[in-house]
Amino acid sequence: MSKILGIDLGTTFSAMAVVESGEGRIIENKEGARTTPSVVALSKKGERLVGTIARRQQVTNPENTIFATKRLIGRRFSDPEVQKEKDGLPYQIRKEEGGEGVEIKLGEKWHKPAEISAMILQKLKKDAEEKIGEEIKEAIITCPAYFDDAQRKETKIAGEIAGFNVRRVINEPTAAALAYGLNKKKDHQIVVFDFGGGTFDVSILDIGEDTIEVKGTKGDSHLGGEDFDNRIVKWLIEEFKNDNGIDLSKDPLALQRLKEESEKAKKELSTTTQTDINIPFITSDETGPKHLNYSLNRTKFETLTEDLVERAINLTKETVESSGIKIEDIEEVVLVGGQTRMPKVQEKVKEIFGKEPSKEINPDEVVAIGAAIQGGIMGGDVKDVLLLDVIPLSLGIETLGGKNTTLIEKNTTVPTQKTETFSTAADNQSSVQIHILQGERTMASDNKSLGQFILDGISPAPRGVPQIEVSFDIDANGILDVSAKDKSTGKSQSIRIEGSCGISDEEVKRMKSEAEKHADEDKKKEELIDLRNQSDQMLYTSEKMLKDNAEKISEEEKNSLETLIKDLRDLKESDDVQKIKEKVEALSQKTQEIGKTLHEQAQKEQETQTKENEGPQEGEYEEKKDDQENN
Amino acid sequence: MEVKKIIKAYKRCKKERDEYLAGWKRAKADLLNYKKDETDRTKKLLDMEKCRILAKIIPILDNFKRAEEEIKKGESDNGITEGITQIKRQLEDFLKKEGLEEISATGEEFDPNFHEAVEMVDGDKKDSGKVIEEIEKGYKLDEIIIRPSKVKVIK
Repeated sequence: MSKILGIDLGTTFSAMAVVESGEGRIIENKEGARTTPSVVALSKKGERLVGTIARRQQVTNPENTIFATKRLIGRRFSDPEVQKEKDGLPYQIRKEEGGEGVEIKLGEKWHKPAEISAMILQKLKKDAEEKIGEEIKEAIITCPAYFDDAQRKETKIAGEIAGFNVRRVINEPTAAALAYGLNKKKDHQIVVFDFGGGTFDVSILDIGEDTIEVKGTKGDSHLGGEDFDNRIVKWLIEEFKNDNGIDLSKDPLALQRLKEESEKAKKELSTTTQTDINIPFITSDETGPKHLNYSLNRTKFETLTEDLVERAINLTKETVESSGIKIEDIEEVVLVGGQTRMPKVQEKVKEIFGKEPSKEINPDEVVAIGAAIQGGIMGGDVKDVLLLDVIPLSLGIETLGGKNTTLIEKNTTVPTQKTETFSTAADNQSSVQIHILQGERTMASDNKSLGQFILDGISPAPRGVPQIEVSFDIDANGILDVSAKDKSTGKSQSIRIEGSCGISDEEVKRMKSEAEKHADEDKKKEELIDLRNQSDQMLYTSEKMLKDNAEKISEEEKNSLETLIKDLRDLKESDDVQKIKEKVEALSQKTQEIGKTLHEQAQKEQETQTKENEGPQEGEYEEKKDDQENN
Repeated sequence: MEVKKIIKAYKRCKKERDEYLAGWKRAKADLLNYKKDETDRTKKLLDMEKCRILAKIIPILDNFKRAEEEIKKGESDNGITEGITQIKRQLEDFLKKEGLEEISATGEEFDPNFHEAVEMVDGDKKDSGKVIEEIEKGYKLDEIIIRPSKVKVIK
């Protein structure tokens, strides 16, 4: 089945997305960019250019570079909006011959705005097909909520001219809501706050059983991110003039650099509280070159742009009021458009609605993703799709010190299988207990126990030597098989746990929130367990050293080592991390000292022996230890 | 009657088996294809990341060039001048080794695939449409345009 392309056909930029494995994914254009400028041009050689390339040559060819057709599409030539735009446009428009609409001159020909939009859509279609590797026949295109029937119809026609079967033209705010999956929440009132590069729109949506209804919408077609950049430019020009007496606004090249740096500074101030604007050699006078270097902090930037934010906020309040919906009845607020990344905008929105707005999806891409999801819903022939489940909580086993060691992480798609090797915790341990746990907590006892079994018959060996292979296997139905196998004897034991996924949603939610709540405390506990395990290991090696070298260690050394061992043993079950650490450190140092002395002694002995008989020597072996040990 | 039932069941089983086998093959193929795509994607991602970093370094080189121009104007000849030129060259070498290529512009036909026009200026009629001055150098990495050359074009 061919894919349905979701298209956000914007005034300045357009974006496209498809649904893959149930999720919306943005498709980059041929140039590798995630958005495409909505610009069309006819070069002097008669070549049609679309997107970035068209924009780059705009200065050389202003009368044949068409942009912002979205402001003209489906409108009558006599509309006040068209008359207002007309004078500012570098290209020619006229009243449609034998009709009421608008026509745009491109080259020698007059086109309808829909034909120009179609050229953009055609590029998107071609680029998407190249990227995906298959023909795309169908599309969902978005338009502002305030578009009337004529504007929607023309948008649809644009899609058809481009070669799409336009399945539907949907509202931009509706698409944003779809991207957040809000269509599943019935009887919900939501606000979509769309603050883009050049326009601002706010819409109130009412999500019903099968419909999403626009309860109210307002906007300002000439308020956007660019105004914010310009405020910084203006401020820089003033500051520079005060300090150097030079007016940069008269210098087009300096102005261009100022614009670029201002946009960069604005973006940086969304994540940092202060930024440096550094433009060396911006201009020069008789005294030599001049450099621009100012520091702009977030507070200053917010003061510079206060009225712009205020305008958007007032429009939002008006829209809510006129929709007849009470502010407290609004359940969700969705942010769209790059300018919503500004912390002050988010703060103000939060202030009005008293709740944190949704902003997890890239605000420049959320509309295209929503359109793709609408396509996914319409083309939703899920018969052939094999739905695979994920495990809601991690699965693991209990290890040394009562710790929960995870084998399969939560959100892993099933069926799946995972194997890990563990070992024993004591010398000559003949059996291990496999205790299967479900949950995210550090301590085994804080998680849900799914079952346990014992693997016995392990041949006697020092701790850490036996290799016990533990396998977890979950099938598509969530049935978990756990087996443990002693690699040396081949002896194995297993258990089958049915319904390991069959845990209620509420319980999963509760367990997850508990894990989050106790995250810090669990981390401390984990540190303590690790430290105790380390202490055990240290005690084991030092005691072994004492036993094996009883005759070689001096009485004094022996006493001091014994004291240190006793100290650590007494302390290790306490909760004092710092003290245990100190004791482990002291014991480790002592054993190293003794080890060094023993090594020197051994070397001396060897030398004397070699002198006595110049025979071959035996190499030294070091025992390999496993990090994870099972109890 | 029994035989008929068994044949029916057999046919259904066979149909299901075929369906499942096809589904299984498809899933395996999906995984293999995904792996291949992922390798491509990773490479592209690395290239993109490289472009992103290079795009941030280029303005520093621009400023070195501006400094060099100004120094030349002053005609002061001391060790510092030479030092700055050397730092600039070091940076240029580094970028070149990373695969960064300069885009040629001045004297060439204006091409929006590589150039961005900032101004139209008067000039010789026969040179109309040609780049007369480069305001900011453009760069590319393989076929990716990291930054187009900013140019003035003859009317």
